[in-house]
Amino acid sequence: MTTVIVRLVAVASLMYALLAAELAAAFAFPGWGRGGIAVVAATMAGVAAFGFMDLRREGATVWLFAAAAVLWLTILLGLGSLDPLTRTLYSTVSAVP
Amino acid sequence: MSNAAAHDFQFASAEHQRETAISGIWLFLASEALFFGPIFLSWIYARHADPSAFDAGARQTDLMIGLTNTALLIASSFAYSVGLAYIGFGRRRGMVVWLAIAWALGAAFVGLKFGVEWQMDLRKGLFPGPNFGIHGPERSGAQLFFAFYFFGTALHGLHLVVGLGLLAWVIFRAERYTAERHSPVHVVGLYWSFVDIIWLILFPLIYLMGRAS
Repeated sequence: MTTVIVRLVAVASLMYALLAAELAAAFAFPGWGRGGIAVVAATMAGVAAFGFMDLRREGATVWLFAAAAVLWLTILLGLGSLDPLTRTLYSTVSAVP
Repeated sequence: MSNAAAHDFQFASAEHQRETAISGIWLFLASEALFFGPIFLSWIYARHADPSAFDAGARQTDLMIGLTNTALLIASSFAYSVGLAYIGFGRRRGMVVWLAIAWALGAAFVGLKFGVEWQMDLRKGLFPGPNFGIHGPERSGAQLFFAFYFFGTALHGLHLVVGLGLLAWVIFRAERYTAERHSPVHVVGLYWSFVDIIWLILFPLIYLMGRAS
């Protein structure tokens, strides 16, 4: 019992440390930029999945569903953002009467 | 269904019943991830259309409330996990106490988000529409941001309210659960942590990205 509680305290502490890192990426270390914030946010999601949801102890079916969710999201966000992130926007010229 | 029975009749064993329940909720959560995916995609599209105006809208949000809410949800997920550990060792009273703490932290999130933050935003005229409070060249992009903000937080809040209902349901049925048989406690805990994860993505999109240099 104590081991489980200690592990959960460690997970929660890690989550708060990552939250602090996220703030640092936004305000204290401008060089990290938005990419740094995104990496920390993704790490926090992973820590919650493995630490609080205990994904590592589940069987193959659960892993398949979790991996499928990540894959579908990657396809959705990857292909979906391909257009806005690669399109060049040109300013339009108004017709003068 | 008797409390003394190790598993329901349609399952070969208690472990089979547990695996089925856990697999089922993970499949549901995978579909929920796809449900929230287009909202995250809309953030990418809307911000790309006019980044500086979109970020100007984001800077109108209250970072301290967002940060406090993030801390509350992390603590709530932690409390629920501790409650789940307690029932795993057959300690029902401890489970009820920790689940009640998780519920209170979740309710505090809802109160702070919709009772305080939304009220402040509405008073400042930040709801998109003809009376939108930001004027000038940033008006259009800022309205896009607040359309994302209100829709995303409302949808997340709806999931949170459903989660609070489920937590209350588990607490009121606590007498049914034992160390060997407590799949509903586990299933609701997975849903609760998933709602936490969604907020962990929404928090930087709403409060941090627009403030980062």
